[in-house]
Amino acid sequence: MQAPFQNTQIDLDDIPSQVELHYSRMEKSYLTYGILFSFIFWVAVILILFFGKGFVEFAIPQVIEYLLWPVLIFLLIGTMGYSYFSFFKEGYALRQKDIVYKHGLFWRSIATIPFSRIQHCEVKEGPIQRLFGLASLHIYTAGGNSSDIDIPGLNPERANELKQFVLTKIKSEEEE
Amino acid sequence: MEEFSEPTRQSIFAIIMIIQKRIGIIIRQIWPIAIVFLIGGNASGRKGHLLIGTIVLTVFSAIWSVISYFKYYFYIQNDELIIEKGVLSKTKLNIPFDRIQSVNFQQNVIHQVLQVIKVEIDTAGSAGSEFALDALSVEKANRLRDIILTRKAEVAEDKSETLIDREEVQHVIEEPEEQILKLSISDLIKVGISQNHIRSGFFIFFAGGWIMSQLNEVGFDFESQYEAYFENAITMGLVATLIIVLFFTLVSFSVSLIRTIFAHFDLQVWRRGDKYRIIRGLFTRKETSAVDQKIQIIEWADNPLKRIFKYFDVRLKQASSTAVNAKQSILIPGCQLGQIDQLKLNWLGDKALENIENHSVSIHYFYRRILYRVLFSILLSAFLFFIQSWIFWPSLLLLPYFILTSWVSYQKISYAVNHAVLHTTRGIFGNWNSIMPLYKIQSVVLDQSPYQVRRELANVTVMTASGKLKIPYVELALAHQLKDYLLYRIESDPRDWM
Repeated sequence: MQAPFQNTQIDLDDIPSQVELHYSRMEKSYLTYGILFSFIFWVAVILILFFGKGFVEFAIPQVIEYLLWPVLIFLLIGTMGYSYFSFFKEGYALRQKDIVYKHGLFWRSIATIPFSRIQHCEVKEGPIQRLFGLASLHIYTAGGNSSDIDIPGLNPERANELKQFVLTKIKSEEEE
Repeated sequence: MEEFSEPTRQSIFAIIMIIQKRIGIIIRQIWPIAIVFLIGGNASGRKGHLLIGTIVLTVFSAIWSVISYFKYYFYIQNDELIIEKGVLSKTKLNIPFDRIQSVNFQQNVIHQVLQVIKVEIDTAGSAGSEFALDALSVEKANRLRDIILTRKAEVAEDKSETLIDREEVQHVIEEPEEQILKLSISDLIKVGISQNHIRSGFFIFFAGGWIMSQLNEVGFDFESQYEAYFENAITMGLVATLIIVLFFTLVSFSVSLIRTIFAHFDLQVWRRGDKYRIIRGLFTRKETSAVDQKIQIIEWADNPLKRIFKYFDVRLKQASSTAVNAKQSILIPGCQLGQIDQLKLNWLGDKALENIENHSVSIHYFYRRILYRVLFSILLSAFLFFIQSWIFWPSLLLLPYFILTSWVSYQKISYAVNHAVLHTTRGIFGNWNSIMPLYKIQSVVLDQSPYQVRRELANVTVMTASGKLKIPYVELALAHQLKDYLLYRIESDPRDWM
């Protein structure tokens, strides 16, 4: 049965706004994980290049060698710094009818998925994330990869709670 | 008892279709070798081997086709279409009706002569989840489709637990079918002439490349021939190049014309109730259907040539489980503005298009677009100048080209939102329009590049089950308002997106 057609005017100021939304941060260990990951990755690259260059047969131009190390050090510090500062720009929020996830320090993005559009969701725990006590919540829509969201840096209990919450929300939306 | 409840074989002609399919595969596998043997004539003893090999292979696959035909059954049971097949290992496929997205018909020349139809069944599973019956008699195919679609509708109604008026369902089916569009031969030729010939040029280029790589693999030496050719081309100079370009243009033009005529010959679009039926094709007649509910976006686009004839290419983009492939996006070329309005009206209703007003985007879209292109063209020209290439002078033309196209792109990009629909327009040489009802949106993303953060601008991207629509470079406050409004509309609308 369809509800009678209504088309009353909407006052744009009455529409719920996301601008003053309060976002929950990711776990503290997610910050440690991010910084440590960049550190280990770039230190490994530096070590491999440092010890590996003796095995290279052709001569590397001096200029490149002089430039290489500062660039690598910059990348090391830069990615660690990025992991630190972007942590404070990342967060998620639940509203009555949708879930919001924002991230990004330089390139910012806020994605919102209404519960009624969620196909399913799952909690993912990678082996390395598990060491840090972290899990991520992946939310699937019919819009395909570009429209799905992946909320990382949750503690596993929280992730499962969120998943349960979302699932009950989907159910109640369907019953409406 | 209902039809098809007993295991049924396909039409006996299916054997021919299966053999034809198998031989097609064999030919695709061995044609490069065959050409080598035929051209490189001296080894005549090997020709015999090839011939024998081919015959053995063909006979074997013919026998295999006959056996697999007799081992292939389909029937309907408990609202499922069941297919049993397999010669050595047996497979049983259950396709529940409510998973079936569409039942499409296809007829190539042989089908047409034998009065049979290939029935393709698309499901809502993951990629590659389509089933086909190679040949059914025309009446059987129609009855099978009717049974599936009627039962599917009933199953869907039962599931939603709402009381339905059976009479109403019946009523929809009995409604007369209305023809929305029919392309005459002259329309078709106009559509063919106004194709994007650059694209078919690329198509020929890559097809040629593929053929050459296949022949290369079996030992043709093209490279030495290339070199000889290019040396000649340089000595012959500009005239030869012009002739080649002209020839290539002519070939591209005729290929796209012929392709259009083959694919869209006698195109007919019919509508009954909430469903389109699209029939087309010269040698292979294809019948596809699209339901309003499944269509997520309607797009229409023109190009400078199409503008002369006042034609648009229309695409009905349907929801798909994986990425949007060609099958889920139904192309209807040669639509006129009136017909597009009719399509929109059918799909969205007359109230949906009220009070809709176009908005342009921020001028920073133009600045940003132009910056990288200008930088690129300056660097390129500088590089060509230093290596003293003759392309230096032509390369200077890139700069005004980029400035002009960026300006046109900025002028043309616009969006419009009202209480029911989102409409975006873009393009450089052509005009590309997309329209969708707000309740079919899957999610909304607001994003900003560092430049946009500094200028307080943002992009709003709307994701749907068949692609996304992007509104770039709007003021941040407006972008937030827009996003909030879209979400409000999605969440307050009880309608299902599909």
